[in-house]
Amino acid sequence: MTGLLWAELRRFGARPAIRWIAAGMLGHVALAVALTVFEVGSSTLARMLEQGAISFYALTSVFLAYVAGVLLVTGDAASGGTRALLTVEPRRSRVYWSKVAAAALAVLPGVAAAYTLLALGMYGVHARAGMLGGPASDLATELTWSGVRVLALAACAAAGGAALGVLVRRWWVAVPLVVVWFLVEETALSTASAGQQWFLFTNADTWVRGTRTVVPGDGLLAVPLVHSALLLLGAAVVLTVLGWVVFRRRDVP
Amino acid sequence: MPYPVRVMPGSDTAVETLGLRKAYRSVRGRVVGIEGLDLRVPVGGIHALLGLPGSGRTTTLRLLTGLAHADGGAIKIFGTPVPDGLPDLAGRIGAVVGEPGFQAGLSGRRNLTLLASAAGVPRTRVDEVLARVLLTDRATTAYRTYSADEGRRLALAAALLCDPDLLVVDEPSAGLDAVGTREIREALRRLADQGKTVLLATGVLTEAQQIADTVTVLDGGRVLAQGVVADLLGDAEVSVRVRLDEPGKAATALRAAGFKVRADGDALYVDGVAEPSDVSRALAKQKLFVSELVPQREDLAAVVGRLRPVTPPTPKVPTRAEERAARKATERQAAERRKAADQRKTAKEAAAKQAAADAERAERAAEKQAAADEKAAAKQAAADEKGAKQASGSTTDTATTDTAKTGAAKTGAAKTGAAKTGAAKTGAAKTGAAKTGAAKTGAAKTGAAKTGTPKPQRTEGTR
Repeated sequence: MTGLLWAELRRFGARPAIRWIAAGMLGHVALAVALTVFEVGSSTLARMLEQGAISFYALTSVFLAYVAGVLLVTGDAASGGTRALLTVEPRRSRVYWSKVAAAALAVLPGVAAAYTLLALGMYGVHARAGMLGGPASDLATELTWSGVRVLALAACAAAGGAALGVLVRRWWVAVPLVVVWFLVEETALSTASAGQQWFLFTNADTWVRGTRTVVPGDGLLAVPLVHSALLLLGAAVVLTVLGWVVFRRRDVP
Repeated sequence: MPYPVRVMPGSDTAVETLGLRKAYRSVRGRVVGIEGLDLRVPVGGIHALLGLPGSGRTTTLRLLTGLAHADGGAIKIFGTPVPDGLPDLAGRIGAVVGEPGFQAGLSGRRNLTLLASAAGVPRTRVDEVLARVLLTDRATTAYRTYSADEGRRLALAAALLCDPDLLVVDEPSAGLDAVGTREIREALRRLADQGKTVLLATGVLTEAQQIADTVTVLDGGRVLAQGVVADLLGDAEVSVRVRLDEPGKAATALRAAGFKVRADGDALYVDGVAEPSDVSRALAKQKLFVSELVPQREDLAAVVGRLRPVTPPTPKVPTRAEERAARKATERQAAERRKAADQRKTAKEAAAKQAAADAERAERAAEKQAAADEKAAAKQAAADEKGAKQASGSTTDTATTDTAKTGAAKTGAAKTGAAKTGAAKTGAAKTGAAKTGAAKTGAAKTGAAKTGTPKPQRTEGTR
C-alpha cells in the first residue's frame, strides 16, 4: 500500500497541471496580499478574520486542491496509469484508496505554502501599518488554527475531487459541477434562510473562520464549528465511498 | 461469477474460458464484445488471438487481466478463477493492454521504478528488464522523447517487472516500423523460449504465422478455430503470380521443377512457394525470363472466410421490438377488417330500409290507383245506366232486358273492383310499382271483360 501511495504521489507531482495549480495557489494569495497593501487602512487584521476575508482567500486554495484531486484520476494519462497499476497490482480497493489518499496528501504542501504566504503577508502588512486590531499573540494563534483547518478542508476537498473524478471520469464535468453548485448556493439557495446551515460552502466558510457562536440546535450540532466539520467530513466520506463502490465494479477504460 | 463444473487440466493450461460473454452499452445501443467464448491457451509458447477488428481480441485480454468485468461465463488462469482470484495471481501476470500511461516528463527508468514500487518489486529489477528490452541506453531520457518502438518496448519491460509466468500483449507491433516490429517479435519469441506463456492479440496474419505456436481465430466474439498455427493458417507460404512471353513452356518447366502451377489468362499462378526467388531461378534455368513476378499472401479476411463455417440461413429470431411491431400490425389489420365489415353491414341495412320504404310507397300508390279505377268503373257504370235509361224511353220491349243487363254489369263492375284491389295489393307487395301497374291492367282487363265495356274505356281505366 505504501508503495502504491508513493507511486501515486510521484505521478501526481510529475503532472504539469498540478504544478500549474500550485503556482495558481501561490499567485492568488500573493495577489491578495499585494492588493491589501494598498488598502491596509480600511480594516484591521482582526476584523478581516472576523468578517471572513481571510477565509475567502483560503477557500480559493481549497477549490484548487479539489481541482488537483480531480485531475489525479481523470484524463488519458490517469487512465493509462490506472491500467498499468491494475496489471501489476490487481487489488482494486488498494489502488482506489491509494489514489484518494495520494490526492489528500499531495495537495497539502501547496495549500500549506499558499496559506503561510497569505497569513504571513497579511500579518506583516497589517503589523507594519499598525492595524492588527488585537493582541498579536491571539491573532497569530487564530491564524495558525485557521491554517490547520484550511489544510484539513483541502485534504477533504482533494479526496472528494478524486472520488468525483472517478465517478464522472471527466475533469471538465467534475470541475464545473462544483462551480455551478457554488453559484446555486450563493444565488438561489442563499435567499432561503431555513436550512442554510446544511449548505456545503456556507459550512466550509464557517469551518475556516472558526465560528463558535452557538446556533439553535441540539448537542454538538449547536456548535457551528463541529457542525461544519461533521457535515464536510460526512460529505467527503460519502463521496469517497461511492467512488470506491463504482471503481470496484466499473470497467477501466 | 458462477464457474461451471468442468475438469480442467491445470498442468498444461495457462488460460481457459468457458462461455465468456461481454457486451458494451452505449448511446447507440448494446454492442457484443464477445459471445460464448471458449478459449484454451496451453502453458508455454506463444498463443495468438487472431481476428479482424471487432472480433473481440482486446475485450478478451481486458477480461483476462481484470480491467473489464464479464457479463457471464468463467475464466481460469493457472487454475485460479478470475477476477475473484486475481490478487492471488499478482506477479504472475504481466500485461500490455492499451496505452501504458507513462508520465511523459519522467525517464523510462523512473516510470518503471514507480511501477516497481507499486508492485513491490526491487528496484534492481528495473535495470534487468530495461536490459532485456534493449533500452538501457535510453533509460535516463524522458519518456516523451521515446519513439513508438521504444515506448512499446518500455511497456513490455513494465509487464516483465514481476517476471510473470503469463505475458498478455495486445497488438505488439501496432504503430511500429519494420525494424521495431522485428525487434518486438524477437523479444516475445525469446520470452516464450525461456518458458513463459505469451498470449498476444493481433490482427496481423503474418505475425501469428511467424511467431505463434498455437492460435485461436476469433470472429464476431466467438472462437472460429483453435489449434496449432501450421494446421489452421498454414505456414507463411505465398502464391506467386508470374507473367512472361511463353506461359505454356514456363508452366511445363515449373511443373517439372515440382511447383504447383495453374494458369489464369496470360498469367501463371504458382502456389505454395516458400521463397519466390525459387520460381525465378527455375525459369531462368530454362532460359525463360519473367516480366512480372508478384508474391501474393493469403490475408486474414480470406483465412477467416475459409474457416468460417457455412451454415444454412436460419430464420431470424425477431427481437421484442419487431414482435411488438408485428403484433400491432396484425391488430391494425384486424381492426380495419372489422371496420369494413361494419360498413358493409350498415350499407346493407340502409339498402333494405330503402327497399322497404319503396315497397310501402308502391303499395300506397297501388291502393290509390285501385281506388281511382274503382271510381272510374262506378262512373262508367253510372253512365251506362243513364244511357240505358235513355234507350228504354224509346223502346219499352227491350227495356226490361237492358235493365237486367245493366244490373248484371253493375254487379260485375263492383266485383271486378274488389278483385282488382286484391290483385293490385299482391302485385305491389311482390314486385313493386311496375308490376303493380301490370296487375292493375290485368285487373282492369278482367273487369272490362266481365262487364262488357268497350276497349277505349278499359284503356282509360289502366291509365
